[in-house]
Amino acid sequence: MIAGDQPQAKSEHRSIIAWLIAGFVLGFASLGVLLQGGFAGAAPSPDPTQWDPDVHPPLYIVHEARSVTDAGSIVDVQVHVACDFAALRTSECSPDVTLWASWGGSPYVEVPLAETRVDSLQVWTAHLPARHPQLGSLRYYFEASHRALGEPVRSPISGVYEPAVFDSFVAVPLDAPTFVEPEIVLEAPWGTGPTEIGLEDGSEQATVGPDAFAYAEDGTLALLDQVNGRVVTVSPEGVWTTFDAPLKGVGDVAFSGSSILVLDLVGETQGLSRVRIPQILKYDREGSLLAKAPVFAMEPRRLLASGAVVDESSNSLVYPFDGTAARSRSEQRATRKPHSFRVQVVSDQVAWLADLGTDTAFEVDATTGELGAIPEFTRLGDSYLVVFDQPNTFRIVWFDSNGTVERDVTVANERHSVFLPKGRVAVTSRGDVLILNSDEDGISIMRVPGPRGGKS
Amino acid sequence: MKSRVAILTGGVLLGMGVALLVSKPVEAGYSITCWTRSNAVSYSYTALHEGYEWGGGWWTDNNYDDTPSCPTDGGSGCEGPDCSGLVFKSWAMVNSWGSTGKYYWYAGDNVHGPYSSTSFRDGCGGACYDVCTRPCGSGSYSLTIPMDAFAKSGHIGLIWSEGSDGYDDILEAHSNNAGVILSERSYRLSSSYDGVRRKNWSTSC
Repeated sequence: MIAGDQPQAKSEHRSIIAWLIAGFVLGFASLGVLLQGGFAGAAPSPDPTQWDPDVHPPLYIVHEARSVTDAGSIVDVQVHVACDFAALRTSECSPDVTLWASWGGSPYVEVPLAETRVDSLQVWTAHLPARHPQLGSLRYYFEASHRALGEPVRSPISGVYEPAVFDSFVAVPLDAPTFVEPEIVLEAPWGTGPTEIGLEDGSEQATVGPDAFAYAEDGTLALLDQVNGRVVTVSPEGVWTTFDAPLKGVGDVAFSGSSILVLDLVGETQGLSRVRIPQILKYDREGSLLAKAPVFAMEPRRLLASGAVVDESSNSLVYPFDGTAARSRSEQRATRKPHSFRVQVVSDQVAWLADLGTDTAFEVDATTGELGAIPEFTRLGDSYLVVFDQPNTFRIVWFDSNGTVERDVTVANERHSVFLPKGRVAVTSRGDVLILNSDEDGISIMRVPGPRGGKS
Repeated sequence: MKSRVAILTGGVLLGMGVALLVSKPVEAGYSITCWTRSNAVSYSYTALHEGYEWGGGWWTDNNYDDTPSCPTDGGSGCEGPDCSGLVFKSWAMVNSWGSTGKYYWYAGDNVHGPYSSTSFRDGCGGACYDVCTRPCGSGSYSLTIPMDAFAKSGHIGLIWSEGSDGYDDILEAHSNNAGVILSERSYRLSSSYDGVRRKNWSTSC
């Protein structure tokens, strides 16, 4: 080696090391990013296409809104929040949660929330008067924000929480019900055949049977046979027909005039969003698909004959169709309406029922036994019907607008396959109640005559 | 110039190799000392809208079934937990029968855990216990808290939010068709389901 070459060789070595280090850093960093932030401490990297503001928001504000209340009461409001950021890992999601409330038409004001824990669940609570003596009744909404997101998330995404507030309730005192043996109008075994209904009863999954059925005034029944991917209709003469429907396993069905509506609660992706959006499909009686529309609702729970979908997150109705064509997201938000029929369980023995259409509220009081859940409350002319879902029985009560009980009966409640609870009950225009039961052999639909009796 | 490109390329490959090496242990999760119901709420929410796989455990948090054509028993290449795998990971349980410790599992970890829905119902070998027994009934709300579960022989689902009348919103790995969904259920009223609680939740993290 020539003595004068040594500095040049050192420089060459430094250059090699520098390029090697640069390459190492580049390779390490780029693959690190590709490994989905697999390194501890990686910050959330929200992708807007991962969420949908109406169906699957990045921050889910979990709130069970009170549906009916009395004017003098204090409404206890409580929320907890879920964050859809996998990278949060073991640190809790701690968003900033804000409650905005208004009474009557007054401007919304921020109401302080108390942060507390139910066991180890972080919750935010407030206590709000149901009615302000001068201003009027309560309405409110929440906002939640997180440093990983831009805009705060609002709940409900459109409209507000607005409990139905009443000064007085019509008393509906219940005595001991009468057990009745109803008429069986349809029986079908489990299976895949043309006159069978599908059951999927695999291990480590939900038991999947028919989630819902509907009744048309001409006596036709429609069943959601989602295991077999079809809708089954059975004429009053007992003739079965089927047509294929792209169901994902959970849904509801309803007759609407000459059409059959199917609610697919799992749904399909729409546009850029990767989230599956629930959808409603409209068929004619022969099974031809007439139209379909996405349903922008956080908790779609039931399909009505009007074509409305009940969003229980805010006690509101979403209208996916404008008669024939699908409504856009903004149109669905703009046309939302409060659900007229409200139920609020007050205790094991007392339930409040409200009909906003007639501005009437009832206090149903069972002095004997528990009332249970309420899959159905509706008006029949100037009378009402309420169905209570109890562990072993359905209790069905018909009463008039003065609270006088016209009929109070119980029938067997067999839930071998646990259906979506509100899809198990249908009501005829005459007030007969049809109920879907199942056991290890198959399904049955039974009819319980109303106080006016007879078939419609 | 060519030699510099070669050195840079070598460095890139070396860096990628090291990145792969160090990322592997992280993907297998790690032992933790703290896990609350609030942690579990957010964790389980990352599984919502993902796929379902019998015996499965992994999912990618993109709210979409990445392997929609997989059959129910398609194996480890298919996305989604089954019902008991979802509860095991959401409860941050240790993959050891009866352990009440805590272990953070990445969503992408293909781990199911040792418990079937039946063993959850029957106490997870001591790692969980019944808070109400079948049927729990509509009067059992004071006994349950969100992120408890309803379990029977063959299925288990997490309480997402409690109703007031016997119905609850349940987050569950439902089926191969539906994947992981949130829907209203009457498990509380069913004579097949017990209410089940993890032992050893942390108070706060």
